Amino acid sequence: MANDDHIRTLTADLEAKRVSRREFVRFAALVGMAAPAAYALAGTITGEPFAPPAAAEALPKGGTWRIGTRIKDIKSPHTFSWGEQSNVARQVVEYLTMTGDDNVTRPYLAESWDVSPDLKTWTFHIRKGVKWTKGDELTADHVIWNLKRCLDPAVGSSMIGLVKAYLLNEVTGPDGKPTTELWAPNAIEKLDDHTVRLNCKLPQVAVPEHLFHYPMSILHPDDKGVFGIGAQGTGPFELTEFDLGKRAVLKRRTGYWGGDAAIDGMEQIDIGDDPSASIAALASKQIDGLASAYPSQYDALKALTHLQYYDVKTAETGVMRMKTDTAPFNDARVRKAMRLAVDREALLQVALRGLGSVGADSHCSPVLPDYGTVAIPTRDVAAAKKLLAEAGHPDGIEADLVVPNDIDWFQPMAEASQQMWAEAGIKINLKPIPGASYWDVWTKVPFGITIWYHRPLCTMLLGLAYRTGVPWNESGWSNKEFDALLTQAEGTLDLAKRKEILAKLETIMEEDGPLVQPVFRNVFSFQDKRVKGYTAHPSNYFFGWMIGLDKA
Amino acid sequence: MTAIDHLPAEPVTRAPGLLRRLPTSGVAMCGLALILVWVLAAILAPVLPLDPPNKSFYAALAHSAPSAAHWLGVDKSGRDILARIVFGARQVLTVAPTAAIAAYLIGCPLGLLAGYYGGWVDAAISRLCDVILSFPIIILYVILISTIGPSVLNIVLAVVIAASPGIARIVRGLTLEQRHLDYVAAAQLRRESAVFIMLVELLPNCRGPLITDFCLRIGYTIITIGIMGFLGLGLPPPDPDWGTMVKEGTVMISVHPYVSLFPAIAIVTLVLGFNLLADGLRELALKE
Repeated sequence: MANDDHIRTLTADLEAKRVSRREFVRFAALVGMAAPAAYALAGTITGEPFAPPAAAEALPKGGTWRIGTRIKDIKSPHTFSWGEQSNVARQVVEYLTMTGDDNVTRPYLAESWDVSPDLKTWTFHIRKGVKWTKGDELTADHVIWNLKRCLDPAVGSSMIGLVKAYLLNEVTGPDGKPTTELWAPNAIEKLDDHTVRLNCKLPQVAVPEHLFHYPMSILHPDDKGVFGIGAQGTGPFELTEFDLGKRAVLKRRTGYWGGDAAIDGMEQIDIGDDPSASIAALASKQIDGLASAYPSQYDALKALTHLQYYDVKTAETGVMRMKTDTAPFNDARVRKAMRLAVDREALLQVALRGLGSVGADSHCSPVLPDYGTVAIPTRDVAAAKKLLAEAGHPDGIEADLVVPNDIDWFQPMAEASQQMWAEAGIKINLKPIPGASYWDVWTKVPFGITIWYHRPLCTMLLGLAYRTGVPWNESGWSNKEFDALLTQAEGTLDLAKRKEILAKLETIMEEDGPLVQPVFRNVFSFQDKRVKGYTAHPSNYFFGWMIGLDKA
Repeated sequence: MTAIDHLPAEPVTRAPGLLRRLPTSGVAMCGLALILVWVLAAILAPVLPLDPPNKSFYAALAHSAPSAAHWLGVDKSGRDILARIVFGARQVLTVAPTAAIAAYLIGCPLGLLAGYYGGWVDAAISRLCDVILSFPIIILYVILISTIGPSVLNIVLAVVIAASPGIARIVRGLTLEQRHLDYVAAAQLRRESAVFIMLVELLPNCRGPLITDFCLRIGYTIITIGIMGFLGLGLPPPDPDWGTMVKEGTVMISVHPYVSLFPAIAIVTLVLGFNLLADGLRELALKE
């Protein structure tokens, strides 16, 4: 049951038009209100109909959905670092919550949750009657095993970055290095066989969304954190074939708690890095759709009349991030000069053909509900030169930018940025490398471009990537004021206050942060028109149980 | 008169005046004309009324097809394709001949040594060449460039490693053919050094086939550079590289074919030029 105090606060905010209907629904759902009820209440308060996303249509039965994607290693779901990995596993193993394409978080394996007025105590009611593949029932013990495993620093899950502020303490490990541990013995508490409570040390509003972070899948403890063919799951499919870099085959499982999937199975096919190869595969109908399409493919795919276009605005981006412990980027003035020298609108056109929006170097997108409004920086070459001179580089600087070549819009963005930087006396040498190689060095190279997928809240992104010392803080940036404000924002439900804090965080990023982050991209995809039920998810997720296939 | 006086003091050249007789070959002149067009374009690129090759024209992105402002259209980054092709010619016409010359500088001495000395020297050099030549050439390029990274120098290095064994084999064969001829014996009797004999006596007598091979090899090298660009192993961005331009256009080839087509035509015409020139030279040599 939703906490009445929070709902009253949100209702007052909506009535006073301090929050939009969409923001109301998102946060009402986060504090435990059922999404349909939240949509209905929003409509009642504003006096205007406000419909949830279309209910699932009656899907045609049968067939195999063939989708082009990348097939990466899937052995360790709790340490996944790619959405593509999770798109194989998520058909088999599931999450406690689910954030939909409307950015609203709904019950999944947790059928409901309650939160205390101080946002510190979250109680999750695990759905009853959910069976694992081998027939035993999902219990609170299974959930707790997964939560504790993800928060074990020895496992190395990125979940630590998300929950560190409210569930973990920083301690010194036996080897003298900093590590983390649960902040209290009862931080993760079993109330009964189907109820799990999280006792947080600090208020946190986004706990349900954190539980849909893609490494936080619920695995059967007997599998010891390892996933593959034969792994147990609670989901609608079983993995029957897996060939790394080639394909994954999933077959429908009968007796799924949510009702059997409409399709017989799905085949996820690795289409490689070459954008033209996936166009050819779609044109020749070797695949029914793409998990995600690139801007360079847009014109060619739009011209194929048997395809349907799907898109959604997102916070997905490529950050040109500077390692803040490496010269010349260890000087905040240099980092700011890098930001001032680029023209964001121009980069949006060159890199994304306008299919996105401009960014303000904070990784916070206006599409996210907690975005704090800040001015988009305008290009100022003279100011950039002045800052460089003040930083002791009157003749400019020279550095290498490592560009992974598997994201097709990175190269044009890097090339156009290179030209812009040159006008400010910043000589950047582009170093393209294979995408797979980039992930060996993504936290090490002084200057590189990293893809970051969408997350439903700014605080999630900032907590994952910019909080001091978290595993995915690739730039090594550390700012105590930022950390404190971020923790404060995570515990603030009042949206207006939260946005104020976010605006401060974004300003700190603009002044001191490690990024040149000029654009956000729209996620879009193309599917054969016979594919029914598909929606573009902002995080590039897809769900086989939502899909039906018309006969060919 | 001694015996030595009966031996020819000067080597017998196989293709005297080959280049002087070039104008008599229509095929060779066609090839030369094609090459000269590109050479002139490359030399004059900075003074021709062209857009900067790396400049993005953001307004042109919405209408990227050939137009009055951009005769061959713009690429996916809004850069003028004509300017990139012309400036790309500078790269190609620098890298390809440099790589071919460098390959000859390695391959010729190896072939001369193997052919002149024979025995274990021949066996060692020939086996080394066999090992390199046994690699599929494209895989060899991919391994080399992936290992040492794409740059002008590394592309030249890769071409040298891949091409010099083939050159060594040709030179070895020609040397074997020549080394028992009288002019070599004469030089030996004059107590000329082996290096002198190889470089001053033997090599000039092999020049006919080698000039032809050199022209062909520049053509192959242009194709090789194009392939490496197509595979993402070409010259570092953003400077124009014809192979990379072809590759970048393939993703939109069904709707904007000109993005790939024009740089592909540039490669074809230049390679054709070198091949025609080589054919013409071969014909002239055969007439001799």
